[in-house]
Amino acid sequence: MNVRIFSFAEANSWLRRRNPAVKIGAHLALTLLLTLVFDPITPLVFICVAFLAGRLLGSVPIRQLAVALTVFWLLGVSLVLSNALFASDPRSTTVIWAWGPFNATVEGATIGLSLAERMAAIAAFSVLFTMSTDPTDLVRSLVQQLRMAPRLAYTILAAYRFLPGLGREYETIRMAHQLRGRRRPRGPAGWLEEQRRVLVPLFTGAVRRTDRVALAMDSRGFGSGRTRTHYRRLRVDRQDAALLVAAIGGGILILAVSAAFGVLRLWTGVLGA
Amino acid sequence: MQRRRRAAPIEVAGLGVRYPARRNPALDAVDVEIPPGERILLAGPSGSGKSTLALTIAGLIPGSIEAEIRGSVLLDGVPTGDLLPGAATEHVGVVFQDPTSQLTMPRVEDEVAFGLENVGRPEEAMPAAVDAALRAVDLLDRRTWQIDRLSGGQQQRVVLAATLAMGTGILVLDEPAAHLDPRSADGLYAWIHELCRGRERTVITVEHALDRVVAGFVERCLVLDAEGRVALDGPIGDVLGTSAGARRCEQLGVWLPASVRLALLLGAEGPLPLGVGAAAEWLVAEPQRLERIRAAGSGVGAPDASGGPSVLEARGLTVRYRSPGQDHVALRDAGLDVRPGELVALVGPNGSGKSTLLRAVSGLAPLESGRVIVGSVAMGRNGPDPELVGHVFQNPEAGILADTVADEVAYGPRALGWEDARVDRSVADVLERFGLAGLAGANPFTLSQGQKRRLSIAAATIVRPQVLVLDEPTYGQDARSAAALVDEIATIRRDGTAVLIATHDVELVAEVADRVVGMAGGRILADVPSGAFLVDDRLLELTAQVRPPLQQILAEARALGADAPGLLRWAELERAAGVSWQAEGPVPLEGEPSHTAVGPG
Repeated sequence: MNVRIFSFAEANSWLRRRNPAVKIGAHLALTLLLTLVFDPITPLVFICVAFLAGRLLGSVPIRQLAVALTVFWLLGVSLVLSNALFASDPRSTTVIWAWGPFNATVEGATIGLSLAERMAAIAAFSVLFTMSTDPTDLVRSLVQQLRMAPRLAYTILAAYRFLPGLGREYETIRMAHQLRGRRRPRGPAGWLEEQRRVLVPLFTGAVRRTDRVALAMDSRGFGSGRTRTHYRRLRVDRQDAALLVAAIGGGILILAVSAAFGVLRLWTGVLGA
Repeated sequence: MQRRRRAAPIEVAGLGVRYPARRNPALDAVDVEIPPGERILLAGPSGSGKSTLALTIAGLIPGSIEAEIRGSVLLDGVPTGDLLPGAATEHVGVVFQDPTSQLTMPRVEDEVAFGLENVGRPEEAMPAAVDAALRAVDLLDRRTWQIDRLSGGQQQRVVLAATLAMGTGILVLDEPAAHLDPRSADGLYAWIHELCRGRERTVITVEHALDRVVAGFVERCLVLDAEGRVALDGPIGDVLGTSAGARRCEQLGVWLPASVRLALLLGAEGPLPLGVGAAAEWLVAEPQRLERIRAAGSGVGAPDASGGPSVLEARGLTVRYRSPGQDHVALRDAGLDVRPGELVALVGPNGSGKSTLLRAVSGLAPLESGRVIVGSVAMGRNGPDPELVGHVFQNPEAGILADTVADEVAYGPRALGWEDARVDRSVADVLERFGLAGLAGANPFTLSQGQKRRLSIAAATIVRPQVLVLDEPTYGQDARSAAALVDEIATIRRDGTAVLIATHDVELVAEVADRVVGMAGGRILADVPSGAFLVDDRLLELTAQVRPPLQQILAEARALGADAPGLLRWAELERAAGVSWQAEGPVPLEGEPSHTAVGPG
């Protein structure tokens, strides 16, 4: 099992067949709703929904999604800790642990937990989106539904193809330098110098490749100025509409139920408790 | 395919092309008419404007590459400048060198459809056109594959399919096999021959491995000189197939097909054989030709360096790359011995572990098990040591650390704390030996590809490493620069440095290697003298190689019942004929273009 965050998994699923533009819309709606929430219970429900939706609609095993989000779990823990220690004024809050100048507060921890969960929930929906979206379909949808200029969209797609190559080239250059007996330079000036030595060959190589790719694209009539036709038409169908309605409706429903149980706290326009 | 177009006649008159900031024009006063259905080879030395001519006909110059143009190019009677944008692409399809930088879409079918979408072909006709084009190159079953999962040869077939789908009548081949292993290169040309069997498609070929195209494919040859002017133009039999024409081509710096080179070296006059089969028949036609070959060839490998202690000793090398979800054994239990001054070539298909073995030897790859001893020092404890193993990467730009050629060469010695006087002396000496003395103050990034490679070898060898490792040194280099490598390697070996080369270039292997290590799937399959490797068909196949053209000619001659030697090297033939590699003189430094952009040349 190859788990890489933000990479397309080629499993065919209901989510995979949905229109990418609609998925972007659903994602935006859920993100917007999540930014309003300020209690630690409600975002937890969103996280559960993301995992369930991934499992049931996207054929993404729960473990795989959990592993893909590792970075966010770690970030979350540090958010909880730092907020518990530094977020609130200890005089007006419940101190659970104190050592020297440090006071861990319940209120701080709660804010941290809420922040961490919201971040994880948004990340979970993002990972679901990338895992279930073919990059080519995304570009087609950006052009066909969201009216993005093809010149821009297809150039981005071509660039996306050679990012992994750029990473390998970076490694090779570092190796080559190490081999020439280059010592790790010291201080910020040395660091800058090191970056320059690595980036110059990296960029000259990239520019050359970009020129070649652009020439090859032109040789196939890219930018011919004619009205582009499409090998595959992506349409918005009832099921896509259902996804959008379910995302917005479901999100609002979660907030409503949460409010009914009295756990929901909304953002009041100020940061902090 | 769908909507195949009649090939348009091409008329080029008084064409001059000059790239910005270049003093000399790339093409000067070129006149050529190419009737529909003709297959023409564009030949010429590096920088003579072969690709420039091909790309100008394709309407990409001056449209996509900026250049100043004089004269006219007519496609179907219409100046390319007056065609609507994109219209030239409906007449002319281009297959470039590097598959990875001409494929723009992640998936096979989308790549083939890309051109059709760009020029606005009707949507309902597209799926059929895409399928037909993929069927023509036998990739229909890979229609929905990610392109990255295909081999280099298959990727070039996808490019072919993409041009077929457009129904273009004119196909430009700009060294399409240059980045492939020899077996895939032959395979690609077999496909191209098959697809262009009929007369309906015009083919304009730029190729340095002429043996693949001179027999039964191209019928006309146009030779450009170093100034970008037409030097020769006529039927291939007149241009390359006569001693006068071939000698003229040689003077111009055009790489000759093996059959022609062989006949010239044996002193042939008049008509010369074109292609392997013709050369074999020509050889057996007269007994004294075979006689001269037997006299020239010893049939054994280069001077044997066997005996004596090894300078490099590698045992049980296993390299495993682990990343989340991936566990890849790149090298499995590999062992190797190399003696001082010996040259060992590593061959094998892409991904067979050649580069990993080289990196393990230089202490760059993480060893799971095994050990490398150079001299009497165990590598790997303190990371790479440039005084033990010098490493030249495939991309010569990767190792550049300084702003001038002289500083670049001096970098290693200075890092080792040599005295200034000694550094200066060594730098002057090394620059002289590698023909870089006139470029001491130049910025390394402005050199030509061949010069950059010489620089990277000079910078690695100045500290006199006991072993020099070269990763694909001829990859992406033109024929002359690739041939110059033979001299560079001789320079290195003279000092007793052991050389280890990973390469696809079987001619290079034939000329310089003492031993060949054949690899596949991360394992060493065989470690044999190069003479034995070049005639072992099973091993050649397992390592994705083919016999070099000269050995193919000998094999065909033997199949005709002649008593031809099993193995022969150009160096041996030339020695017998009184020519030597050195006699060709140093590689010209002027006129080699810096390949900063698309490499006009």
